[in-house]
Amino acid sequence: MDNDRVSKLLERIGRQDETAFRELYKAFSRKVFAYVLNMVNDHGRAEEILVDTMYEVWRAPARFRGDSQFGTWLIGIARNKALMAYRSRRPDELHDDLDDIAETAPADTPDGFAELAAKQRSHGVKACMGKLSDEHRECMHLVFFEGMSLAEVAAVQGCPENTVKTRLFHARQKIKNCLKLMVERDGELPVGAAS
Amino acid sequence: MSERRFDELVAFYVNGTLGAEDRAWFDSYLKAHPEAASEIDWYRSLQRRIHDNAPAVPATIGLAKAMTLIRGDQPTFAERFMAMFGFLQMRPALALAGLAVIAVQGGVILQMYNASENDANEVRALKASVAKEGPMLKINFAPDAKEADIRHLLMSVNGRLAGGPGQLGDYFVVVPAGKEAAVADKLKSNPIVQAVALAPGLPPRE
Repeated sequence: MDNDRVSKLLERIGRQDETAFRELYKAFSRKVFAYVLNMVNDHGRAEEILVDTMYEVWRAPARFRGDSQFGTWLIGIARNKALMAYRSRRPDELHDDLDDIAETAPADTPDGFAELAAKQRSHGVKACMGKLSDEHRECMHLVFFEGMSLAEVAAVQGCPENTVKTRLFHARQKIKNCLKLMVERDGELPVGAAS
Repeated sequence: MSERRFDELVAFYVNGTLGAEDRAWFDSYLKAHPEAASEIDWYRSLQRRIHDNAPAVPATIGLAKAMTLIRGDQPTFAERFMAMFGFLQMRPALALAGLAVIAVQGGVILQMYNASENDANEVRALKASVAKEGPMLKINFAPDAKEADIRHLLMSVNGRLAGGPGQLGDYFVVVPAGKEAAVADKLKSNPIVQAVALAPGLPPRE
């Protein structure tokens, strides 16, 4: 949905038009939900944050001034709410970091990449994404799932572009090495996990 | 240097958000380094897997909750009241209490009004008591008669105002029993008096 259509819907939402709200909700709910789920790793909590995020739109639709893509703006709201939820998490819910894996992984080779591309499976990628730090996992999601540009990722994460580049570099290294270790250990991932 | 730039740009090359200049540089780099193509393929595979992992949820996920939330967001009576009287800068409870006080005052005033209507007649301002003793005279005064002169004349005959003036300018005055004729004569002789007659009692309320 382009920003022109979004702007028209937001105008109607400003007049308490529930039909317009429903349309906007359905257009962006999955995108926001996927982002939040990637952040908090809890289906119920992700749904709550999605609802809270869209409720913000209902309450103050004029806050979106069209300076960015609406989806990017929406994810910015969801991010703040997810971070608040993150702060309330118990310590044992925190994700493991993969610094040790990154240090011990073998060097990249063209054959290694080809093998990895052939053998990696969705569940393996998901498992390795889940082991990244929050900032790195978020960065990977914004780039490879949301398809955001460098400037957009920097805007969402509230950091300089160079920081995004650094985060992305380390995140890619870690996930790549995590996948290599999984493939080396298992040959192929279990049949039930294959996609 | 170029390898570092490759590392910085590769993710955005794969997701298609590189600007024209960076994209041109990247394409030329790939021509010069064909071995890098396998890395690009890996990133594309990774991107597909990440998309495959997107949660399979309907677009309506959470919508019912959101609708419940926004319908509960309709302005309450207190919010509407505050919108009308917000300039008073009062809390809703205080504003409602103020409204209750106004309503009670209104009720009291209405009750007093009704009670006063039950009074005998038109001379409410004078709060005339209903004279039950003695004969009563109906007196008409000249239009230019002054209140002080009327009062002085009535005092001189020991008369007590029981009602009036009505719409026709009638005053009803109780006079000492047995002296009504003498009082009437005295009153008629005064230039501010136009007419005097014996009245059977106060007239019904107009």
